Amino acid sequence: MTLLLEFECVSVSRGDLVLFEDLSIQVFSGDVVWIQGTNGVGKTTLLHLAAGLARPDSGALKWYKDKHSMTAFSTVGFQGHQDALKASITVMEDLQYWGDLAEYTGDIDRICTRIGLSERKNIAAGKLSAGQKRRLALGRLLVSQKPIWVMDEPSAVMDAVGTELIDGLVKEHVKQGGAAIIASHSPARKVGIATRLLTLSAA
Amino acid sequence: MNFDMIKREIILAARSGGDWMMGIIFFALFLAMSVIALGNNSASLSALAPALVWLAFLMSALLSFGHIFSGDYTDGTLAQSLMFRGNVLEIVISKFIAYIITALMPLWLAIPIAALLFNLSTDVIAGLMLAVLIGIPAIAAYGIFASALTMGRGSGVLIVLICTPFLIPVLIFGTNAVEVYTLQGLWSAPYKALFGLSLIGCAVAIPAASAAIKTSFE
Repeated sequence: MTLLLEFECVSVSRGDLVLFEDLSIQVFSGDVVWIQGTNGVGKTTLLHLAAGLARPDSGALKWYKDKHSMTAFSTVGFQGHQDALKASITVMEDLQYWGDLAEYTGDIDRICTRIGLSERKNIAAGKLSAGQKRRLALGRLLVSQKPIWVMDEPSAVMDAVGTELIDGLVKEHVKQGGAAIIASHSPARKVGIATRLLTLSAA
Repeated sequence: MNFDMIKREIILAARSGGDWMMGIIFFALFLAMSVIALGNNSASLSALAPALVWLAFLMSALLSFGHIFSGDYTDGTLAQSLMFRGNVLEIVISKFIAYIITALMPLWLAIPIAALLFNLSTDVIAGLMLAVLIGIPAIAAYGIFASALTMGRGSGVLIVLICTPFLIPVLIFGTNAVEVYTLQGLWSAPYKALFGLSLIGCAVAIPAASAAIKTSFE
């Protein structure tokens, strides 16, 4: 078990409202951290912190790769509320583009098949359904080849098959030594061997 | 600079259903309406032409500044690019080059339209096109900067207010350059000043734009 991400006494507040105080979490390879809590309690903020897209008011976050301290951007793949797709770009072109940015050398066709879009690979992203767009965003996580996956409501727009797909992908990812931090409203499911539950509640 | 990012921007512009032509249409309409408003005296028209072309060019550029980063910011592309590359400056420089290719170069190529409307000599057109070409990096750099500062706030007015002070020197030396082109050619002071403005623009506004983007993710 190697340490991938560490929150050290992190505090964040929005105006007078304290979201977290002295929050310390360690995420190891193989971990799935399942974050729950009511709307507005700070789940997305926590994920943005983990992805390096926001900074805590106090405390520190540390990311590790092969026991060396790294920047968030070299270790975290982020799937947010927005799917970051362009309506006129096809599924294949989109994966190819992000794959090129991440210097992914694997087979893009296989990624298409894995996320269940092999029959849609020449369809423009603007014509996909909400669930298919989310699948494409998951494909981007795969080509990013980052050890830590930070996922915000991955199954919100998915059907049962899609939810199973997410669980399958996450399970595979943590088995290969990665970790995932998932915020979700659906009840926590056991994904992989080490699923932990973090429940945020208003103070 | 990242060629994949630039290529993608060009593909997006080509597939946008002619969005990139909006600037050219505005530019041509602005000039055509100026001709109507100023009457039919062709001598006074051609004297005013360089200033009008510069104004039309800057106005249509100002109109397009708002779109440089706002789309990528709201649809999450900017955050993803940042996560994938971890280098804001690379993203900004790619955007800068892509913006010049997809928005300002088509506009620049439309300048000869003015020759038809104002009955200009080839000398004046050549002087004008050279002056605008040399000023383009400055225009694009300040546009990128203003767009990076205001992305996600949806404020077109703010962009105009931020950019205008920086674009006024470009306008002053740009119109002056066209006047002296027939006598002194390309190596005259106003062209050198324009070139200097472009260098300053790139050196100051591009790092400032990447700093603005960095802060919006902190």
